[in-house]
Amino acid sequence: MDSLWNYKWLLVQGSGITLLLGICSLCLALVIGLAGAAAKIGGGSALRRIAGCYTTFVRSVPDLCMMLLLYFGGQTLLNKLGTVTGWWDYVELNAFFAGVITIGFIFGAYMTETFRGAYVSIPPGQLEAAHAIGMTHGQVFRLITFPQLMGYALPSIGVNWMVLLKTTALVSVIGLKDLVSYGMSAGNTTRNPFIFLLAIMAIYLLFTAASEAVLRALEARYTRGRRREV
Amino acid sequence: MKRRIAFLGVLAAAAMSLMPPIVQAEDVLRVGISSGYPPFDVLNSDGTLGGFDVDYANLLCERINRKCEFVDIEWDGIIPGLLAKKFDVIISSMGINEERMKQVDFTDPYYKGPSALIALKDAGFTADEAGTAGKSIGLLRASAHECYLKKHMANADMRQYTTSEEAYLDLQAGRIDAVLVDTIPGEVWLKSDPKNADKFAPIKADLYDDQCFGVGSGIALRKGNEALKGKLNAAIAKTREDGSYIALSNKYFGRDIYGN
Amino acid sequence: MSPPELLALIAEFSEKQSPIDFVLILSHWDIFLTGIKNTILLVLFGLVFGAIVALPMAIARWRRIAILSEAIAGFVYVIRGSPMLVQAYILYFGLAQFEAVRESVVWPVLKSPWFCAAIAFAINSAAYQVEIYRGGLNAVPRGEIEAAAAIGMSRTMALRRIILPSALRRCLPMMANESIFLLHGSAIASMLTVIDVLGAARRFNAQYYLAYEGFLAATVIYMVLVFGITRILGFVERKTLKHLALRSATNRIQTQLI
Repeated sequence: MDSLWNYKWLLVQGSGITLLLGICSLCLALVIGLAGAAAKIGGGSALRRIAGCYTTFVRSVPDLCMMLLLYFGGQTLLNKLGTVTGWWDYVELNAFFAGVITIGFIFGAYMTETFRGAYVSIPPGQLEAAHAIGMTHGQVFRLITFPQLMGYALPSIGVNWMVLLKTTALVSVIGLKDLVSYGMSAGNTTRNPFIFLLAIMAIYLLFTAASEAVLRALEARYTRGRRREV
Repeated sequence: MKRRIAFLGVLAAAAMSLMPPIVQAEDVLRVGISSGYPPFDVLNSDGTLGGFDVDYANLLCERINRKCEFVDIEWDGIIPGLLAKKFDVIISSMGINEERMKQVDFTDPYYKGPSALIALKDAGFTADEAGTAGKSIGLLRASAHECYLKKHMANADMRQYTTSEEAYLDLQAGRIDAVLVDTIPGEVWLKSDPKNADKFAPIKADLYDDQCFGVGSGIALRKGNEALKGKLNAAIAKTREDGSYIALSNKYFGRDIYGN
Repeated sequence: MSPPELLALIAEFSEKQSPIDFVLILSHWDIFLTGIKNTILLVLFGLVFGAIVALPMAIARWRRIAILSEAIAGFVYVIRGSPMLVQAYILYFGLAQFEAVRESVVWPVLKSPWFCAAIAFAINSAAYQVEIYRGGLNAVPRGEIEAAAAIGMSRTMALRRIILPSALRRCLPMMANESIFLLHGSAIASMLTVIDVLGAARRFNAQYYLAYEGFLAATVIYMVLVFGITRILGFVERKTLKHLALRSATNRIQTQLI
């Protein structure tokens, strides 16, 4: 226990990195998810096919493998691109960025399905009514579609977030000093990995529990209107 | 106060991660190291890096008027990282050997040490091909020891680890029969805990093979970086002349490990 | 041009011109084959032993057996709420530090990295499978259970003959998902020194100090594996769920009639 206490600030720091990584990845995933859903619903056949390939690819390759590929292969590709185009000499693709991009890319695929499902749940009558009273496409999206989309998608976004947060543990493999990485180093140095691994597990469980609480509160708020209908 | 420091640390790390350093100031030398290799490359409990390699890198940086900036990376990603320009040099006890020289360039060696096969005291096998047949031997992935094992202990069961500490953990647990490591860090590990010295000992602590381990540990650079290589070679020579090398070596090992 | 000449030409192209030295990768096919074998076996072990553990737990949850049910819920929460990488590390590095574990009867099993990975997968998969089976059990129509009781079946017999087959068939689509997620998770085995597909890739990369070539090969292999699993499970699903598809179709017609 003493050793755990000595390393407490390292664990706090690692937790901060893990959370930050999770939140950044979530934002990217939401943006990709919205774009992917738009492509699948409203895109032409080419766009729809690209979106389809994207979700299939993500479903086919383990996150760990994709992360390693992007971290090492992506940097090489980036450098070559810079050399060929002459636009840059060197742009750092650091572990944090590689993590955000990979996790965002992976969960963007799951978010695509989330938003597509949510869109289908919006009663088509509402959209027709909105168009009938003369709203523009932009207005319909902003005032009718988007707020409801978020409402319907929220539970699934929540589930994705909790899976995403666990996936962040894998960035330790590409050398980002996150919670798992710091915990393992400390555990190896003190010859007591067990206690540190348990602490890491407890911290992740804490994150999960907190996420669930926040999610319940959000859901209660966003689905208020819908419950009254019933 | 401590809490605030930790919080600021998180913020600073976050900010650093979010800003890709596109423009590199000329006076910074980015040094790749792989921590988890005491006493050469260590991650301290406050998150800073230390060890002989880190201190020596700082000595060299002083002498070429640049500021060392360390990038900590897993060992099997360190040459790919150098090639991908994630850092400018590797100062992390990397042995100068043929296979690596196909990919990268090296300065003159800055120290030389043999390798050791460490096992239980009563393990009862020898450090040769016949003795190690069927034994499970742990080593660091992408280390020169892979070359040695394949050449001299071809019938052993090779287990590759991401850090040498993980290999030691498995040796202590009895999951593997021996570890093949550099002798100096191996002996440091043995001395670090009386329990280790009680149970384990090197079967052989002076394994040499010039093809695998080369002429010692040097600083790796990308090919064609002759100017920097020249400066670093001069700096290494200077640390030998002005006594700073010996002072540092004595601090860590109580002797001069230069060896050439 | 003779075949050997052609081969030499291909090898040279691969080494000098092509961005990926595919001949080098192909010449190490044996290590990748070992990787594929280990990955498939690990996933199978995890799924099967996960199922063996999960099924009784799901029934206990479904029947709401006091205390047991809560304990299982706790287990499921802990496993599903934390990363599998950490669970695998606890099993591999964490437990091995204790003398008591090293001297116990389970050590010969825990000593092997392969079995550590397999057990971690089985435990993890069990937690997910409990929820899948519980969902399946809850989805069995009341009428089926009542009908079984009405013709005089005991509770156990009804469970064995009526409820479980009906519930498990409903779980198939979810099980297909779980198989693929476990395959994704199985890449963690490479962190425990096991040579799975990713482990083979890392070993290959390390030998030649390459950055990504091995990972590219691993990506392709994983894609093929997932494609295969999807095909096989899709086939099984169509075979076993045929009657449900038919029934839901007739249900629709009936409701339309009413």
